[in-house]
Amino acid sequence: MIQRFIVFMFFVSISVSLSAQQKYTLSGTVTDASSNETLIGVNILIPQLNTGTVSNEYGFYSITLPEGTYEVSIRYLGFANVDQTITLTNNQKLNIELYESVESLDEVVIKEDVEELSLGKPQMSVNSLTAETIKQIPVVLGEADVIKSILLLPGVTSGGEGASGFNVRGGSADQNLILLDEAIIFNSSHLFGFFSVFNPDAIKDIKLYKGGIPARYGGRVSSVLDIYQREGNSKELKVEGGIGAVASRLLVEGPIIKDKFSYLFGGRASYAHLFLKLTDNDNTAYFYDLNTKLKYKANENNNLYLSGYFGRDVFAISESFVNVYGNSTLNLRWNHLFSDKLFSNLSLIYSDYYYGLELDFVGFQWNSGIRNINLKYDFKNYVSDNFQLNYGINNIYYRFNPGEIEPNRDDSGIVAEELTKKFANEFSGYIEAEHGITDDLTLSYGVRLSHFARFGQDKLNVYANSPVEFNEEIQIYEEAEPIDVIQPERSEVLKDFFNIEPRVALAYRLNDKTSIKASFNRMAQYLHLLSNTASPTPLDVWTPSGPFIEPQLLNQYAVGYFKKWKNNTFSLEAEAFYKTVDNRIDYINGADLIANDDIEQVILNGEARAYGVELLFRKNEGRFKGWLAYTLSRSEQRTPGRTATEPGINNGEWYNTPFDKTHDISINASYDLSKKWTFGANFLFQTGQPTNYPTGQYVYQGLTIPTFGLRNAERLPSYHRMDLSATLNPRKNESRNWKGQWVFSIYNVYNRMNAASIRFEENTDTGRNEAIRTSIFGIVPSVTYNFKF
Amino acid sequence: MKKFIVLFLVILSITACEEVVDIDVPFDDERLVIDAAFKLIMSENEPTVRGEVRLLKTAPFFDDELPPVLDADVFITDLTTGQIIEFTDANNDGVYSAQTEEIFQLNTTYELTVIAEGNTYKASTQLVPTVPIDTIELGDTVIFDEDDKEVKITFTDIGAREDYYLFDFGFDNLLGTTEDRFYDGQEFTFSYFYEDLNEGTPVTISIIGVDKQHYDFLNLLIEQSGQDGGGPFEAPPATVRGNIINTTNTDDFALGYFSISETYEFSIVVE
Repeated sequence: MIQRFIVFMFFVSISVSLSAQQKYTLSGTVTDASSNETLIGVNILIPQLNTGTVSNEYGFYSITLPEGTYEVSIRYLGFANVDQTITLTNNQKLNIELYESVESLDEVVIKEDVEELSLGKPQMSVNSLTAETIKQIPVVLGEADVIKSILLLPGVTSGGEGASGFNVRGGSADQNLILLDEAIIFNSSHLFGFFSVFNPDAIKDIKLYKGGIPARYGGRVSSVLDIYQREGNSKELKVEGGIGAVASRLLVEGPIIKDKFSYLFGGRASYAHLFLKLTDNDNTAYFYDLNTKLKYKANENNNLYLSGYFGRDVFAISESFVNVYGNSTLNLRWNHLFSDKLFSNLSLIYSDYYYGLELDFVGFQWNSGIRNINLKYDFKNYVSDNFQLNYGINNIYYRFNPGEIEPNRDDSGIVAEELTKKFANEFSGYIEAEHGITDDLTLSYGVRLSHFARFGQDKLNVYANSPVEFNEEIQIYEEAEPIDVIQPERSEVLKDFFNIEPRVALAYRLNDKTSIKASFNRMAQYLHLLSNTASPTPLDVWTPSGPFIEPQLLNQYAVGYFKKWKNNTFSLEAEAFYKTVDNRIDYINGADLIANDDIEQVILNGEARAYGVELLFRKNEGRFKGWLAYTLSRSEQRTPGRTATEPGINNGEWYNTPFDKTHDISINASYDLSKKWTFGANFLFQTGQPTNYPTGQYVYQGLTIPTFGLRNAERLPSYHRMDLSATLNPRKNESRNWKGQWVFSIYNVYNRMNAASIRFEENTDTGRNEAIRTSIFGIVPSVTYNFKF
Repeated sequence: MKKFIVLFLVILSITACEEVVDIDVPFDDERLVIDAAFKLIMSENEPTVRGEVRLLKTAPFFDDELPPVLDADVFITDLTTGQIIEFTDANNDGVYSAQTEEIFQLNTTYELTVIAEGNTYKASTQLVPTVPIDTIELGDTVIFDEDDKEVKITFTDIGAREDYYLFDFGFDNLLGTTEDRFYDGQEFTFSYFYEDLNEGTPVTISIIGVDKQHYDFLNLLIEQSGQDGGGPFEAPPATVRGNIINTTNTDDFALGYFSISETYEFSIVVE
């Protein structure tokens, strides 16, 4: 099946190429003149033909036009416009260098770029942010943060401060595909969610796809966060960095061979003892990460990239409790132009997530992790000015280590135990076309075929019936005893899955300023993060689909209305979505997931659905910029009983997921007062997170026990806060090489005590029951100093 | 294992701020609660039985008093011999005590019957064996607070048998559970940390044998009683069903548990 599919892809690409005759191709790379850094999403417009194209993730563009003389307009926010006349009589290379417009403008500094809205493109439900925008958004403790920034976008929420990950359109955190230079990142948080793992200095561009997800992405059902790292300046040595309240950063970039070979090396480290100034113990909590990238431009048609990421969190309470976790990735890529119309990228990616825990007071050492090797080959075929084909294949081999337990010292009573390692392979191939049917109607259609195979492992339980039994007598689900344990060979396929994932999107331009779009995407997710808490913890392990767990399957429908006016100064995006996820696993009451080697005994198969409306109103240009985002949505799940006599979970009724936030409002604004001062402000409001309040109490053996009703029927109080920031660029910067910048920020200006949780317990001193609210951050002022030379 | 999540909460609470707040909570669930945990206290002499049957009703979460259930018929039947132990509520406070002392035996099923308010409730159990505590020593490790007192508890698990243990650290409601999965057949030492304990306080620590079902039940209760905290890392809680069945109307179930456990005690003075 898969082989036939590949043959089909090449056949399609060849046949389409044949139809494009009598035309010539203009192609090249768009770069920043000051650094040779390639630019993503630059508009290359041919006003005469009312057509154009956009540079891809590697700065490459290609457009095929009839023979003739054209005015080519290159537009990119934050950079000076380039207008050039070309006479196209044969295929032509045109590499474009853009100059930052900062120098050319006196008062107004326009820094945002790719966030411009493309009315005619079928791609919807996508938000882009540049590193520049991310750095302007005020955040807690002054540390610019990718994930905290995307939380200001419509349809994106989080479990609050100290909760890791993010939730897109009512999905869970593990349903987000997070790619850093194409490598999969399994845990996006440092320090249990206070910070994200991405160093904003090393990032060029981020894109968040919430719906209408292109066929080139797969493996997760909620969203794709695609992050590209910078390549390094191949013209001159540059250093930038920052000193903040929490962490310091340093990034060095420069040429190894001028204009040909560049490097980038960035590091970030937080200060130890950050949160643990309690006593004079040897307590420590810190994180660090390293980003590296090498780019070698072999010739016009070949580029090589080597990028790496290494991040670790270290947390220790004296010697008794030591916890280390983090991601590492290594990625080798080769960009090759087969012709001026056929761009290809081959990537070999290794990624590893490690989690380690040592508990000295029980004599216990625990290591777990997930490793994968990913080979990707992607093609972009710019067939004509109204037809582009993307296709490719992707193979990922996974090795899951759910945990190895060993004694940490000789006198420990712990017996070494290894949880069963799991192995799997995910193969996928895709083809998608972007097709201009008429001047006003553009269609994008494609399909992704995915195949997932689970291989043999050292221990596999066999059950008489189901791994989960229902105890009719006391009406609870219980773990079943396996009747046998088998040891299938590694080469044996225990179970495999094949899914066809169609993706369709269309854009219809009503006029110059307005368009409507619609999309449908079906996606499969083969990996599951085992977590029955509202927010994932680093202890949660990933598990592959297999004999007992089905892949999650998403169907998402979205429609949107898009408008730009006043020369793109203002834009409005309104979208509605509806999605369903099959095979969403749910956990029986009292399921213990940690170090559980027989996870199938505590899970049941359920489903999830989410729907809502999102509005995003933006002012993109001028001294005063910003956006207002509003989302009205609902996110629910249910797990019905497997037979008529079983109640399922929550009596088989739909209940709110922990990510259900009815109203979500965010406002982000920035104001350039002068060249010296820029001010920023955020305001966020979210309906409180669904939770459980006790419906009664009793006493058993001296313990006060709350009783509970249906799941997630109550809510925490609403979450809201406002943040302010002021950025000072001293005037003396202009005359010197060293450019300093001060960022002053206040998080949670009016000191709102937002509830991270409310717990109900007996006060041991008074003997009375209490509700105790935990809030993580009140008002937090901070100062960060950034520099560049 | 679950307990270690607590550590994350502790980390969070270091920067966090906690405050008692007023919350309106619903109350829609009035049920009978049967608290019937019997201990067979093991010693060099004859073992003795400790325990009674407490009958009460659930109440709104912020109520100070829980209503006792009076005038119930309570008895335990030895299903092997058919012998019956009667329980009576002498003080009219919902606490039913045995009229005769019966030493529970291993491998014998005992059935508890409670007839109250027109319903008959039944639960059956067996005596669950356990092992003695070998030693308890004081330690000086500091984890959270310098004033916390560390005690190191050592016991020897019996191999080739799945054992579940309940530890009672005294003071009425300091409980902890552990299973032998990671130390089957080994001598095992772990540390417990007392908060706010004055020097010279005598403490009795008990090791109590429980079976898998009771262990699962206790784990959830301890978690939900607030000893384990709460917050973003908390699993969605649900009312915990014990082993008691309403034979008159199965939907109108009772809460609580009937258990009989071998128990060894060990006393120490914390200095």
